[in-house]
Amino acid sequence: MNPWWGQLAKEYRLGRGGAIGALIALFLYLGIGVYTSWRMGNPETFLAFCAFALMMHVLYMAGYMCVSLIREQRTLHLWLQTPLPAYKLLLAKLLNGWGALAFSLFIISAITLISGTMIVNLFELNPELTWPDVISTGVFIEIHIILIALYIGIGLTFLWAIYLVVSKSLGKVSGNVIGIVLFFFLPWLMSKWESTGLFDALFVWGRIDLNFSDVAYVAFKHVYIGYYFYHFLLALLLLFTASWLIERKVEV
Amino acid sequence: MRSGVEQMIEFNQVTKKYRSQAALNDFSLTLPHGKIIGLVGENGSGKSTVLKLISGLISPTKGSVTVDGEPATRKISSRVSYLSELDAYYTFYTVGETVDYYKSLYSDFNQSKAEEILDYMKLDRSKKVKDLSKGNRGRLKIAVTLAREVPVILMDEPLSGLDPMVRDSIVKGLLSFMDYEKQTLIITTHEIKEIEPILDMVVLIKDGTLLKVEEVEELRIEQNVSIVEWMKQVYQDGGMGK
Repeated sequence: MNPWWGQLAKEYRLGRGGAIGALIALFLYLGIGVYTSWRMGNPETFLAFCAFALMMHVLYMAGYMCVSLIREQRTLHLWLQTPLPAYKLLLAKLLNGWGALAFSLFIISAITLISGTMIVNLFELNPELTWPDVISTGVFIEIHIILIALYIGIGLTFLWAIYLVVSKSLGKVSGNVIGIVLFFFLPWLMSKWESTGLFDALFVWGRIDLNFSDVAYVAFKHVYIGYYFYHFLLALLLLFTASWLIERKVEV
Repeated sequence: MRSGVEQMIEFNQVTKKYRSQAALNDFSLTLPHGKIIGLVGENGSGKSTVLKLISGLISPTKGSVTVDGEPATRKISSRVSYLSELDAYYTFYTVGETVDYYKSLYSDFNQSKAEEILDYMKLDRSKKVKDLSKGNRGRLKIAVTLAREVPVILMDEPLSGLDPMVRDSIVKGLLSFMDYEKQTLIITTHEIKEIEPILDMVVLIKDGTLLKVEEVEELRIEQNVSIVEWMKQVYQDGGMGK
C-alpha cells in the first residue's frame, strides 16, 4: 500500500470520533431548534436554526484540525517518524477533515433545503423566488463555506506549527502567548494590506457579476477572480510554511 | 561475537541544548556497523537525546550527526527504526491494525516477521491497544520496531516498567529477531545486567559528555568485570576518553 493511503486511513480513524461527536452535536442542536420552533409555533424559527448551523460550518475545519492536532501532539514522535514529508502528513489530516465537513454540510444543507421548501415553503412566502435562485444561491454559499473552512483550517495548522516550535524553544507559555498574538495580529495585518492600493492593483481583477435575484439573500453583487487567487496563494504559503516548520524545526 | 568494521553512525562535536540547558556537550562518537550497542549512564545523562538525534527527531544545536554519511534529519526514518521511551500509541487501533499501519507506512516492514514476533510475545491481534497492559504495550512497540528491515534499530528503555520474566523473554527475542549481519541495535536501559549478555559494545555517558566506549568482550575477558562494575570504576576515575 502507498504510505500516504495508510496515513490517510490512520487520520480517518483519528478524526472519526470527533466527526461523529460533531454530528451528534448538530442533531442535538437541531433538536433544540425543533423544540423551540414548536414552542413558539413558528416554523421559520427552525429554518433560522438550520441557516445558523450551515454558516457555522465555516469553523468546522478549525474544530476538526484542533482536535486532530491536539491528539497528534500526544504521539508526536510516531507522527514525525513516518517516512512521509510533512506536507503529506498535513494533507492527510486536511483531506479527512474536508471529507467530514462535506458530509456534515450535506446533511445540514439537505435539512435546510427541506425545511425551507417543505416546512416553511419560501416559495409561498416569496412568489418571486424560483428553484434556480435557490440552487445557485445554495451552491455559491456552500462553495464559500468549504473554501473559508479550509482556509481557516490551514491557518490554524500554521499557528499550531509555530506553537510547537516556540513552545519547544521558549516554553509552553511563550508558545501560547505567541500563538494568541498571531491569531489576532495576522488578520489585522491582512486587513491593512488588503486595503492598500497595491493590493487592489495586484489582486482586484477578473470581475464576475453575480446575477442572483434580490430575494436570494446574497449580499455580493460581484466577485473578483484575483481575490480568490490571492487567498489561494496565501493558503499555499501558510501550508508550505507549516510543513517546513514541521519538517525542519519541530522537535519531540 | 561479531566483528564490525564499517563506520556507520557519526557524532561530530555535537552540542544539543534544550533552551539554555545542554543535554549533550561537544559530543563526538563513531559507532560501527553490525553490533548490539548499549548506551548507558545515569538519568539525565543524555542517552535519549543521542537516540533522538540519530532518529532525526531532534537536530543538533552545534555539530553534525550522520548515518552512513547522510545527515540525520526526519528523512533518516527510512534507515532507522526508533522505539521511544514514551508509553504513547494509537490507542484506537487493535494490535493487528497497528501492524497493518506500520506495514502500509514502511516498505521495509516485514509482515511475516511481525506476525512471528507477535506470536512470540503472545500478543492477541484482535485486542485493542488501549486495553493492553503496560507490559503488552511495550511488547507491541518492540514487535513493530524489530519487524522493520533497516540498518539501524534504536530502542530507548524498551525494558522499562516490565516485570523480570517479560524482560528476559524480550532480551531473548532481540537475539532471535535481529539480523546480525545487516542491523545495528543501539539500546538504552537501566536494566544493564539483563542486556549485558547480548551486548557487543557499551558507551558510557555522563552529563552530556562521552565518558568511555568499550568492547564488552574486552571487559569480560581482559578486565574480568561486569558492565555495572566497569561503570562504577569509570565514574570514580572521571572517565578519560576511550
